Amino acid sequence: MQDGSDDLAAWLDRHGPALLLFARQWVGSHADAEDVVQEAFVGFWRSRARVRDAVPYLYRCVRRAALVWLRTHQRRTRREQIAGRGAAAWFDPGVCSPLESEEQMRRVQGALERLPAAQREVLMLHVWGELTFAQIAAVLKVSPNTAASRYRYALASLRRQLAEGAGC
Amino acid sequence: MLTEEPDPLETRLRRLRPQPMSADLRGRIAEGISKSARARARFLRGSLAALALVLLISATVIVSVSGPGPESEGTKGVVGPALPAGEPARVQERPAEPALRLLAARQLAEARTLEEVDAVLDQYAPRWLVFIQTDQEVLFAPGF
Repeated sequence: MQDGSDDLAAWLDRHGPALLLFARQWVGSHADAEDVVQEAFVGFWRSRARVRDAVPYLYRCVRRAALVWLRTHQRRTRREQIAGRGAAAWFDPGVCSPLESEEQMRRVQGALERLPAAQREVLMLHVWGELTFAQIAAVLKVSPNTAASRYRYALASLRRQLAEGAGC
Repeated sequence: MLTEEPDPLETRLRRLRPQPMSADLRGRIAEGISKSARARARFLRGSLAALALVLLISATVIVSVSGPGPESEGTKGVVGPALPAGEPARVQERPAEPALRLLAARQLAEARTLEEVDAVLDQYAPRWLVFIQTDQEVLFAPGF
């Protein structure tokens, strides 16, 4: 799929799940993440022709919508996160590889939730959004070097957390 | 050339797939986009109509403020006396040369003293050289 493609289905196939996951890190539930992605995507679709690289712009739209949502619903989100921690899966258990049990998947999600937000979003953009560090820099308005170093810190922190968890 | 080995943790993370996008969400997005396009078209139509209205009102105001010209039938906007339609404006004409010469000749004829003759000659000197032939005959030649 070309980035400049007007094929809505292709855009949703390519970026939909990663966008949902990206939004999910800020909002209280999967349904809320869907609302955020819906609002952001409609806005993005209207104005995508005006930007040079549409993919980072799409993620920026979702990030902005999620942060607005978070400010509006902060108290409710906090309550939901405390009440339902671990219950709402970020990942699809149906396509879990044989090497990754559901338990391991939950441990990864828990470790991701404990990461600092600045590191977590870079990790999500790079691993699941498949954005380059230059594109991530455009989304977050930081330098590519900052994006790369946040990614390294995130991986190191995640590795440490997962090793500690495995040792218990 | 060195190639960077993929981080095992990164490989492990990539194997996890995010929750898929539901058909319901896809439908909502498609509907939202078409609704947004319709709203945009409505807005553009409304903007164009408003612009046309503003232009129409402006044109009407300009026409009514400037008013009809002097050649129109009404009296609105006429500052000076109205001229009959089609008649060109007249310019105050200077007396023609022959009439002026007659005038000068008559003034000379009526002069009773030399001073009066000098005064008439001085008056017309910039225009003609005046030759007085007789009491009844005065010749004029182009002046300096």
